[in-house]
Amino acid sequence: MDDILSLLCTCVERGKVNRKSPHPADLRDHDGADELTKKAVEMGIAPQTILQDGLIRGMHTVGERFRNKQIFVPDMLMSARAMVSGMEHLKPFYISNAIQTKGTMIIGTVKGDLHDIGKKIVAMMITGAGWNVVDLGTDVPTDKFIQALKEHPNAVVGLSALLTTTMLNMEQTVAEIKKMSSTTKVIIGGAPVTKEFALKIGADAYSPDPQGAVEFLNALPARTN
Amino acid sequence: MNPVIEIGITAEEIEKRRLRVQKAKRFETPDRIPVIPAIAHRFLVPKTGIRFKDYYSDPETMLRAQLLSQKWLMENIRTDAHSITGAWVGAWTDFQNTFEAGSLGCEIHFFDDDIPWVGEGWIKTDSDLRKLEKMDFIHSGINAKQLLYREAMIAVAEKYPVRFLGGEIFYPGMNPNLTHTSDGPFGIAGDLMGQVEAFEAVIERPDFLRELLHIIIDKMIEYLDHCWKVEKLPVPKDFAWTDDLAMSLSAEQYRDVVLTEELRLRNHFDGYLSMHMCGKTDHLLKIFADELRINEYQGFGYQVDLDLVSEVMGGRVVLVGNVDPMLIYSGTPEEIRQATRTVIEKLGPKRGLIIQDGSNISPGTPLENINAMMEAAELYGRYE
Ligand code: B12
Repeated sequence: MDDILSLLCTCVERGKVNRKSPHPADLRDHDGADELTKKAVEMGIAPQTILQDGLIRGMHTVGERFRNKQIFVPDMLMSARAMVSGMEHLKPFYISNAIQTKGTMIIGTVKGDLHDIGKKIVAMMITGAGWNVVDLGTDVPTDKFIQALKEHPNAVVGLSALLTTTMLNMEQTVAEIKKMSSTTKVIIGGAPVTKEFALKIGADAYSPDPQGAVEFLNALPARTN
Repeated sequence: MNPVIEIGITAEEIEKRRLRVQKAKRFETPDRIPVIPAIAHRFLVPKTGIRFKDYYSDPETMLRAQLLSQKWLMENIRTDAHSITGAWVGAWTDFQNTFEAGSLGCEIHFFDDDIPWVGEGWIKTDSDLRKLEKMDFIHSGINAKQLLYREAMIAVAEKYPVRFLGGEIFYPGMNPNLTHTSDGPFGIAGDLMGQVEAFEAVIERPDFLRELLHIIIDKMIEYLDHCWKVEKLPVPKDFAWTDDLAMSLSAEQYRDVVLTEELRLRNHFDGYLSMHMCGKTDHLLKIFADELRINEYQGFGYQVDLDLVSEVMGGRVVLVGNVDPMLIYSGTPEEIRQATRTVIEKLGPKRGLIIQDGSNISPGTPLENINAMMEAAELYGRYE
């Protein structure tokens, strides 16, 4: 059992999606995260264990390597793809409650801002840490965040901005969110954002990288969706 | 006789700045380290009271806004900038980051009070590559518009005479630049495929991506030759380009898919080569210096390690950077002076330094913060 989960973990770390995928070259014609997760389920391994010791463990290493600049955006995206392909086989267990998500994160790039890549990576890392993620995309007006929060009242909100001009839109969005629900946690990020700015606009946290966002979320008290 | 746009800087001062910058670019010793904040039109055009809607819809308004912008810049910003004409400065057909994708099949969205955005990418398959190959990059989309705007600017050039104090009258609109490069080869691939798809292709479909980049470079070279002809630009050819999106590749990935094609572009130019890349590019510095053999690294990101860039490029690549634009936006003048001082102390001794932000001053940045860079150069950047 350890064996298959270690292999699964390696597939996530190295971005091996499925048997067909040619990458990485030395794993050509091997099973990928897709097949291995399916097999693990068929072997009767507890879905929560597959998630935790295979997919989440793999994504954790990926996050650390990305933070330390040992891997870059393309590798990160491939790892995320591998993770998602495994997740597909675990979906039924979320529905039957055999797997509990740690909570929901609503994430989006704020109004006026089209930068998507960084936010997407954060979303993938958070998914890969066992959270349910609602990605609202880019150029997201405050209303849309509020609407999503009504649908997921216990969710944490993540805001991304890559422009100094649109970063200012975060202030209003945070204020509206806090006005609606003062206990909702908001984490912000994106290249121009700083810890001081987060403090100033009343956000609860800032992280320069996805791993920091995962650490923040995991430190929160357990919550339901 | 049309009223002359008088710019409140003496011609003599302009000449002094030119010499100072020229010396820095030759690794000689100017009186002090030059400072040129990077202030683009998203900052400047609103200063003229002209809306982006009008700026983009009428070439004469574009030209007028550019000249008034440059007047505002020269009179309000402490800078060693010494030319108000040329691409990315003034008197140019300014479609910035949209012209490549916007002439290769992507839709461009224009707004009343914002700069234009590039729409969705469309290249997915080999047959899309064949379609791309057949496209006329020079005469379609935004590039067709650029040619029209250039003609229209030339037609009204005489209505806009400009003069520095005590200098000769000149007409910037007489030979407006076309936009030469903006998004860079990998950046254009990102526009055309979708950025995430382009990153995935680096790993999953490197051959496809190489082919796409090859076509892009062919088109860029053809287009640039055309620009040189139309604008009667001098030979040897100086060239400035950027490839911001490639910052997110590892050195191996960059070398594997992007470098070969960028070298074709690089080798097409025999003059002074300036490259720009935002962000943390420590891992690419050696490639830029040794393999791409750039002459200048312009507006490099504030995240770049100063000791490393000095070691790898100092004394042989002109360094233009790299004060944190977010600090300039929200810090105090003293913090900015000290940050500038650090750049001067680390990069000044080997010569070839021009202080700039790293990169792109944001709209809304207080003037005293921008000008603090010059104050630091005067305080800490004098060579004698
Ligand atoms: C790619 C890109 C684009 C693409 C975006 C495509 C896409 N689908 O995302 C396009 C071409 C659309 C674009 C457009 C523009 N861009 Co742009 N763009 C970039 C570029 C090259 C890379 C950004 C990126 O993807 N980085 C990689 C990712 C992985 O990093 P990241 O985004 O920082 O995200 C990480 C962290 O910040 C953090 N993070 C991000 N979000 C969040 C959220 C949370 C909650 C947390 C915890 C963490 C977190 O984690 C991420 C992963 O590590 C940067 C320059 C650069 N090299 O950085 C400029 C840059 C951001 N763009 C810039 C500008 C000015 C523009 C434009 C205005 C036009 C122009 N002149 O370039 C337009 C604006 C359009 C708009 N309204 O948004 C400037 C911003 C300057 C400023 N501070 O204001 C930059 C810095 C370039 C520059 N110096 O000119 N751009």
